[in-house]
Amino acid sequence: MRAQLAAARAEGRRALTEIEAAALLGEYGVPVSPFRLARSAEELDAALRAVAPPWAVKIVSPDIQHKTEVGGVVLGVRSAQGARQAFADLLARVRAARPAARIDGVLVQHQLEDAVAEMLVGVSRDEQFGPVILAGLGGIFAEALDDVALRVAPVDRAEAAVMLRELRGIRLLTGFRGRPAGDLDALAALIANLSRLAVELEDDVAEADLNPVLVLPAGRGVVAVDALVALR
Amino acid sequence: MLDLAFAPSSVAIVGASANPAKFGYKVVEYLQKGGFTGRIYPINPKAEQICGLSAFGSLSDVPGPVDLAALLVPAAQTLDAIRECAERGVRVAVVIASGFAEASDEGARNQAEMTRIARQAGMRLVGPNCEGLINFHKGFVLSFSMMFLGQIAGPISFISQSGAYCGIVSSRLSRAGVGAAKVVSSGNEGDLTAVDYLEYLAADPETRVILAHLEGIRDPRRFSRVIGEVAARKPLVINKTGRTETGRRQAASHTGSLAGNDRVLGALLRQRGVVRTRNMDELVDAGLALASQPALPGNRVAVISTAGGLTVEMADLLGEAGFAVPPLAPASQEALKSLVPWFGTVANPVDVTGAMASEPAAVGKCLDVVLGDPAIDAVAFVLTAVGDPEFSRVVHTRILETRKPILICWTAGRERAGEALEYFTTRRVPVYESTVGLVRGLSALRDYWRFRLRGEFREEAGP
Repeated sequence: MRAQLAAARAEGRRALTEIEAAALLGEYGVPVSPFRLARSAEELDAALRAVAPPWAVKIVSPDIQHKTEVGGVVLGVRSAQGARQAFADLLARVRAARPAARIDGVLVQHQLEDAVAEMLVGVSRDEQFGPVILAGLGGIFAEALDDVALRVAPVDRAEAAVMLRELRGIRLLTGFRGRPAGDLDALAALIANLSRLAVELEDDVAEADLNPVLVLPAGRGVVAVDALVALR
Repeated sequence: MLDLAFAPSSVAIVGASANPAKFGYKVVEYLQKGGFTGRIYPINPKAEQICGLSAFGSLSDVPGPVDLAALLVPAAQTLDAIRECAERGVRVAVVIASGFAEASDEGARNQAEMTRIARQAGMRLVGPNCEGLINFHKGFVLSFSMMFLGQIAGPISFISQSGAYCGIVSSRLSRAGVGAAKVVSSGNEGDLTAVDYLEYLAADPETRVILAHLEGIRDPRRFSRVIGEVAARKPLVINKTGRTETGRRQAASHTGSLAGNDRVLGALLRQRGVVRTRNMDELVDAGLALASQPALPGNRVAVISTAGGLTVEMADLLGEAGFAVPPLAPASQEALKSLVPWFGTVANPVDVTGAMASEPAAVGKCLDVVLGDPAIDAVAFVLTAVGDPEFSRVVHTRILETRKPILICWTAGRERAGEALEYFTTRRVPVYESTVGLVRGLSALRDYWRFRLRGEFREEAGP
């Protein structure tokens, strides 16, 4: 994996594709929602057979880091017909928004719909202290509500659990107003695994966002749905 | 080597002056006034005598070893003086002069050269651009500032990159009756850094609590490791200023944009068990509480006062700071009812009313009830205008007997509290002059003990 990271950096790339990022995270025991890459209509049909619905359909491009900002994500797709439509629409939108971007294809990903909450878990690099691990509510909530918990890596599972309790928004994961409690143990394990990645790959990885990480009801785990890995 | 810095047997003052208005005179004068018992060698090519001591023309004229040399010469003459110290076998040089890395590129080059010469000779440097260093237990006051005279020695040591902080913080610790052990103005940290002093003070038996005021951090990765080792041995409070974000790079991710420098430092300090403060008042309040109080096993506080209005304010402040002010056990409330006038309150906050300011024995019994309540981890005692030292004596006996923290806030001010307040100060019990000060002190205790006790710390949700 280090060789792959080095190769990507040598190409002058600023980030891994989502597929590369998923492979890297998988190697460090960070669960990623199953997906298939489709580069053509035929491959799309094969992907729809391999991955269980409902689906999220997302653009894959080495030149696009924030996919939603160019209309590169369609969620809640439930039929093959809908998936083919989403495939065509998505390519058209992205080509219009970013004509120069290279497009590797689209990703068909199983979309979990019974998550208790969506979290952001990420890595940053402090100039003085090195890799930093961050957790907050997913999507744009962490930023908008300014509610994040930080640690300088390494972070073990016990410390990750303490870290999560610092979040004001953690109430959403602990059975707030009759909602099921989320699998916080699995979330702490994910944070510890990401910390290991951040420390071991400090020389290559500048930043990472797993956003969202879906937190399933207690006992059912967590799964990263979208991953951005920015290179140094 | 740092033993020699804080407790030298012989000190040379390079740039000593016979003119009482000069720093070069004051350093010698204050060394004497502070009660230093080692040899003092004023170095001055023109003077015969300085402060009644024979002056020497140069370091090479000094008979016998020189453990420490304080350099009072201007920046331009410092490099030559450092070379002389190195040749003379001086072990520690304290460079007072400004005009180095803090001032210009040339100054930075001179500072680097000074460090190179010292390291080659096996000599250590304090400063440059510093106010000196003090070991109160040895009566060793090496500074041009008169702030350090007349202070009591105590259990708190202080490292400061700012010279001004040194004198003010240590005199406030002394005034509160607690006092400092060792104080060092680390200045630009050309050689010895805050981390070196931290390691030394962690092992120093006279230091029970360490305070540090930092503007920037040298050698951050070592700092990150060492602060954890220090905090595992004794309470460490770090006051970091310069929080405003400057020159932050463009972040590619949400995480990058959320992980600002000061936030990362705050997280690091928390995860290493270091108490973090943001200004001098917080720093002093934290130090006083950590040095004077027993372990705090949980966040449940009883508020007791002779002034009802202040009990409400105190309960508000405690709640906002993350403390619980829970109702006392029914048995405790019953016991209090028989002691407190009918117009007081006994649930918590406990308002014993002003009528009890003249009944010290009954107040002592109230304190016993509150301290005996198993649902209470600490007591915040708010006093207004009590002039009777007997009142203080009664409270002090409880402080000596109990294993629970009792923090006292005396809002009437030193002038009015008089002898009753002095009773505490002379017994090394700090008294806070404001409700917010007390809460800051208690918060520092909580932050430290929550880390030390981990899962054992009892935390109850606030209001």
